[in-house]
Amino acid sequence: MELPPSDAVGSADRAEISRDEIRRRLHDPTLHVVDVLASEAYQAGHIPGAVNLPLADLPGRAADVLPDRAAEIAVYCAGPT
Amino acid sequence: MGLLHELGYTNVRHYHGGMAEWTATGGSIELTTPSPSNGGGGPAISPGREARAANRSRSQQWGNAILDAIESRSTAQLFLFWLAMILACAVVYWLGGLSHRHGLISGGTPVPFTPAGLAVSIYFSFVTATSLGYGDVLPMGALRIVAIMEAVAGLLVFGAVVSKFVSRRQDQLVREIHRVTFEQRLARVQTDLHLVLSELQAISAMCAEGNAQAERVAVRLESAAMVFAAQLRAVHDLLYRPQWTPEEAVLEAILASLAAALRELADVLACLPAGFRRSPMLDGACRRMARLAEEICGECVPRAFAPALTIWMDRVQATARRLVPPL
Repeated sequence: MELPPSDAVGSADRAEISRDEIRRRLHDPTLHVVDVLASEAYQAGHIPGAVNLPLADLPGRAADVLPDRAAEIAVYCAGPT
Repeated sequence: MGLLHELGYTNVRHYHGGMAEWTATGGSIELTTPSPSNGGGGPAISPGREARAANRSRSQQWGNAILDAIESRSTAQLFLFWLAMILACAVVYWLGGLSHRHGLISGGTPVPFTPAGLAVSIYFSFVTATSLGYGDVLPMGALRIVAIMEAVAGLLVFGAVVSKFVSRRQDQLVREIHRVTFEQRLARVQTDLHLVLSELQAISAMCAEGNAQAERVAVRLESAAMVFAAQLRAVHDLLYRPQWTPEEAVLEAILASLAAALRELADVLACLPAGFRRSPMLDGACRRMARLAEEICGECVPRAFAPALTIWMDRVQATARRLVPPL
């Protein structure tokens, strides 16, 4: 299993979503919140409605969990990166 | 996230603060227990299920918010709240004395809107909230509804006060038990890591001598790796869901010996003869460890630690990558 290099998490040219927007749209079905933490960390607590896609499984499972490539996705991990 | 972009997702945005900020700023949290049906992963998105889940989580949030509010207040605060509620209701009964249809009646005459009337209102409010209901003062009109609501709310809040008062000692005991167990676990992790480290060093010496039978080295390495994998899981738990926060010095010692043992293990694996084939058990243990250690680094653990600790965590992560042969 090839693990992503750690700088894949910290690429500079990424769009951001604010905490308030996530909070406001918690029940909005068009926004998919994705938790890339390990499943243990996910089970211990995650943003309500978030889907778990551990970083290591991302290449394999992404297509099953998020079939729509144009879907609006908010992704988060443990803490400030 | 770069990786999702690479997989073809176009509309991805990153929540910079992550779980740490979300919890720190009071965001609601959802817990899951692993379900066997979807292999422990997250649920697949299906519209109907999602809507139902949203509905359920909204009502759950309400229930949780009320329980959390009771949980987070002290006994004294709850008791004061109970008193304040009774006094507020008393004022309502007192104001009722201004009208002729919605007031209190004591001994057949309406209770007037005077200081003496306030005293009777407070008396009636206490008698109602404690569900005594002597019946010497009676509410009229709309005040009957207020009295019923006060009686119900008063019982609930007072029940919370009593249960909190009773469970305090029990909470203390449970917490003490948790603390002792945690400390024992911490000590066991330390000794076990030490044993693993010295065992690996012995294997390393055997391996370096060159004349040892590969079979014996393999068996010994296998059992050491299994113990080691369990220890790594314990350290992982310590960082990800600590029931208690260990002292930084203790954590640093654990991480340091973990890093040393990992390096030793990587060296032993590198020293094995070229024709050596890892048994499925050893291979599984190595992969498990690499996966767990991938989540032990200064930036990926959910809590911020001192710089000295993050250096050790990064070292653990980097060393563990050497355990699994590149595909």
